[in-house]
Amino acid sequence: MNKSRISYHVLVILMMFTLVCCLHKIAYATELNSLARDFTLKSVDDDNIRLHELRGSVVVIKFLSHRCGSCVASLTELDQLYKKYKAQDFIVLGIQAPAPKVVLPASEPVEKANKNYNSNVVILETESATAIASNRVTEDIVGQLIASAKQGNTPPKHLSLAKVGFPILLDKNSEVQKVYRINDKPLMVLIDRFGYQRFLYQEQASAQRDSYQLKIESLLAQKVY
Amino acid sequence: MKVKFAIALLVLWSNIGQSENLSPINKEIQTLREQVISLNRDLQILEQKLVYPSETKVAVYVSMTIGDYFELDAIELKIDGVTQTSFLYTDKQNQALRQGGIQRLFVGNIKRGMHDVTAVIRGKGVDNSEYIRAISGRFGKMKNALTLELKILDSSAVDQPVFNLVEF
Amino acid sequence: MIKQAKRAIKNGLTYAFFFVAMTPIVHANAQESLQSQRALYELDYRVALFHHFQGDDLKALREMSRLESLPSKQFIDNLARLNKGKMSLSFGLIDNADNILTALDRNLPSSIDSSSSWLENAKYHYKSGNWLAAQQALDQVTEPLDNVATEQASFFNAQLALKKDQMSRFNNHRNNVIEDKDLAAYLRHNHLLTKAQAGQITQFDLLELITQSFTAQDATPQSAEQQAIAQRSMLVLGYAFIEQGKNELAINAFQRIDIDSHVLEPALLGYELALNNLAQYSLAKNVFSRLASRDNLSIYVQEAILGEAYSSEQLGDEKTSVAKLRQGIKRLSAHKSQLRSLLIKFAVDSSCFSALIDQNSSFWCHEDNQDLLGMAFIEMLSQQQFSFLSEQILDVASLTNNLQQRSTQLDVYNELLNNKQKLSVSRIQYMKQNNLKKQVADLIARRDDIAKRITFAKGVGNGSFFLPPKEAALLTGVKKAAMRFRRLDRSNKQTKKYRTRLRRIEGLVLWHVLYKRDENISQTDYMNMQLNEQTQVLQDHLQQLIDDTSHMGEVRSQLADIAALKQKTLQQIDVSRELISRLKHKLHALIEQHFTQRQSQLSQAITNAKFSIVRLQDASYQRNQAKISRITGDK
Repeated sequence: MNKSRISYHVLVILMMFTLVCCLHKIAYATELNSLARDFTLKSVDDDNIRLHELRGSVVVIKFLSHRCGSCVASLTELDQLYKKYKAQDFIVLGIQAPAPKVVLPASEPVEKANKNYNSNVVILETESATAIASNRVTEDIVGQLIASAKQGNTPPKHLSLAKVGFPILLDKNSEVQKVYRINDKPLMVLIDRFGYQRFLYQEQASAQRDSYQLKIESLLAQKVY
Repeated sequence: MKVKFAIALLVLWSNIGQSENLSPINKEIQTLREQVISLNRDLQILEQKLVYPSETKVAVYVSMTIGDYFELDAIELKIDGVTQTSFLYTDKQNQALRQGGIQRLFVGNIKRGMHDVTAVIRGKGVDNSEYIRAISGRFGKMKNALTLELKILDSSAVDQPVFNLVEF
Repeated sequence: MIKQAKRAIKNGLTYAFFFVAMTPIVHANAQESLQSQRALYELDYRVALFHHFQGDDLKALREMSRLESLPSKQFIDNLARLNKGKMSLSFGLIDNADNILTALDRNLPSSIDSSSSWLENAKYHYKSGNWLAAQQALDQVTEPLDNVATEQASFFNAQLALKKDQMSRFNNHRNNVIEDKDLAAYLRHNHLLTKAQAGQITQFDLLELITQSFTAQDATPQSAEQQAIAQRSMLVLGYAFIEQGKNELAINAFQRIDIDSHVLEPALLGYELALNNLAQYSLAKNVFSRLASRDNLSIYVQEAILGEAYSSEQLGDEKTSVAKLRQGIKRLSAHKSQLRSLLIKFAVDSSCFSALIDQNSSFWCHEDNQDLLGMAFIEMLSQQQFSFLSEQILDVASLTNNLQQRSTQLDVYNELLNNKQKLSVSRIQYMKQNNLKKQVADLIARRDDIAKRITFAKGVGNGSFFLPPKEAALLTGVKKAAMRFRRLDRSNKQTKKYRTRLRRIEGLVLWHVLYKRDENISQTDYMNMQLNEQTQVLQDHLQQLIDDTSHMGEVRSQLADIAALKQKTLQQIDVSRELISRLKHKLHALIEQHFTQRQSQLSQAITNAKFSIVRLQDASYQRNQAKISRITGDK
């Protein structure tokens, strides 16, 4: 095969490659009022969950990162909302960025009080996590944490414990995170019953926290035939 | 008092009444829908010609027959050792496959000649036992489009699913 | 001649034999290719089914449409058509679904599949409000279906019969709806409504409704839906009793409505009206004030405000009555002006209105009492006619979205092809400039020349072509010398010495000559190879040129296709945008009507209140005057 022939083929393949890349960029996800982009991820309980199949429900996508101390409060809030509106087809999806062994299935319930409440344990690090040498939460530390919490001790300061009832999805290749980001900060996305992104929040926008509930309620009020 | 009562009734009845018949707009919306379908179809045909010409086109389909013994969890497709696509299956998609649907797993371009195609299949068998199977085949790409079908069949003889990768 | 004839016959027979022998092979090939075509069709058809089972009917219909445009459409059978009908229905192409089903009915006797499809069609028509089409579709459901579907068919038949006042038909179908309690509840409710409108409600209806809500120990409890319908039925009964003057029965009915029911407000109002009719004013007043103290100013709360004042008046407390009326007027006026400013804010082309449509909320328009108004909007939009329209808007918006994505895709393809075309054009230019064809021809000529000479040399065998002239001369000289020397005296010793030396020289020369010859051969070979390569390169370029030129035609036609599709897409985007704008205007008109009506109701209430104040003040003034005149009269 001659050089010019090869270069022609290489060029065509390059063009096709750029074409595929361009098409990939066409539906950039973070525009308001656009259809939320579909994805399928595996949950911690080993189910595969697809966003398009959740049409008819109001969906909140919350991105979890393992370095977010203030997230605990917002997670607990979200969990309460989830419990309250679950019967009206309200779903929260927590998307976990790939961090080793951060999320565990609830084989051992941590608090004795909520025995019936099937929960996933999410371990979060605060910003001042200087005590841990490796900067990562290892399985041993998690084991210790659970054991000590079972005995009724509060977790050490540099680790927070947030317990949630909604499904947590594992985003191994960070695909979904890449699609839903603006300015490199992960968002919280509210999706209405028809699959449209209606409200977007930057992380830690505490001023907007108060209107979560009202907005979720307004989305829940929409009727689907 | 009677005035009030009448107003109240009016509001009550109007809430219970049916929606009005908006048929002229309904028809227009239907026409629009038809146009959207035909445009999508034309674009797909164009795309096939342009981006996947039959000299280089390879397409892999997945089908499941019966499926009593097997629940599909994920498939990873590799051509010549390079992962082309990996797909996670929900319950609904499993159901769709069982009802006779076939999934177009992957469409792409490869050069002429012999290629190794591998599919790594993950799923759950009877009694929730986990399965990981890899199935490979060596196929030659000629002038025509290379169409492969990954068949998942139930084999009552061995109480296990059987996987086949065949060419059309 | 006989020989020629024999030969001709032999040839003819041979051809015939081959022809006949080939036919089964050709036929087999045709069969095989038909089979493989069918197999490929099956694949794509089942891909369409896969999309359909997941609810993605746009993609499913796209696949079916593509199959219909290819030669594979010969394989489309009735089952495929039926499935296409189902896909069309799910996607909202109700007329297409109807047509497909009608066509299938003509070709096939009715089957369970087609019956169940007709039922789906009927449901869709019913939902869209096309009663006639719904009934026609229902009449096509002739095969026995499963229990759920049969009850559904009976349900819709009953509803349609009720609309046409065909009571015996209604009752017949109603008796078939046994298992599905929700549907039965709807039928009962609508029946009650019809009776109420005709003034035929009796206390037995109330009794029946009460007993319905009692559940036996082992029966399934009522669903939330059934409870809600039962509450609505109770409300209807209550108002019907008031109309008939049976106030105690009305109160009985209203008291059975739950506090968290969504018909609480009209129920409370009805309760108050009944109490008033029974002259139980102080009780009525308490209930009125309970309703009047609610935050949202619905029409019921409005009536309660005035009703509270009325009850105070009936109890003789004119002061309180006037005070309440004044308070009420303030509140109603405030709400009226709120509504007025709301309407202005939500003009059709305003951002507030767009936000309302797009986001189903009025949160973008910050204002005091925004939650109150927000709730008013939510409540209004959740009513059927509004939510139907807003759903249509969303529908068309999603179609527009799809079209815009396709348009962008077309732009990408357009750019791709344009680049390809430019590349081809520039290459062609380059080739042309370098006068390719002539170069190729020259090279070919040179190569052929060398090849000819080589062949000639090889053929002749003396290899003189490969021998350069100098060496050739040398060789000839040496040979001549050798020959001459041989003629000399061989016995002479010196001659022998010189002969040996000469032989050695001859050997060397020969070696040298042969070496030179081989060198020349290899050089010629090398030149030949180079020429071959260069010719190949240039031939490739030439081929490229030919390819490019032929592809240009293809690319041009593809670009034309893209341009045509793009234009169609833009056209449809315009159509859809125009549709959305019309729907939005319709919705806005409805909203305006609703709130304008509300404002006029408020105005009316305010005017009534003002009249009452004047009347009360006048009455108390007259009483005071009478008192004074009595006092002065006595003196």
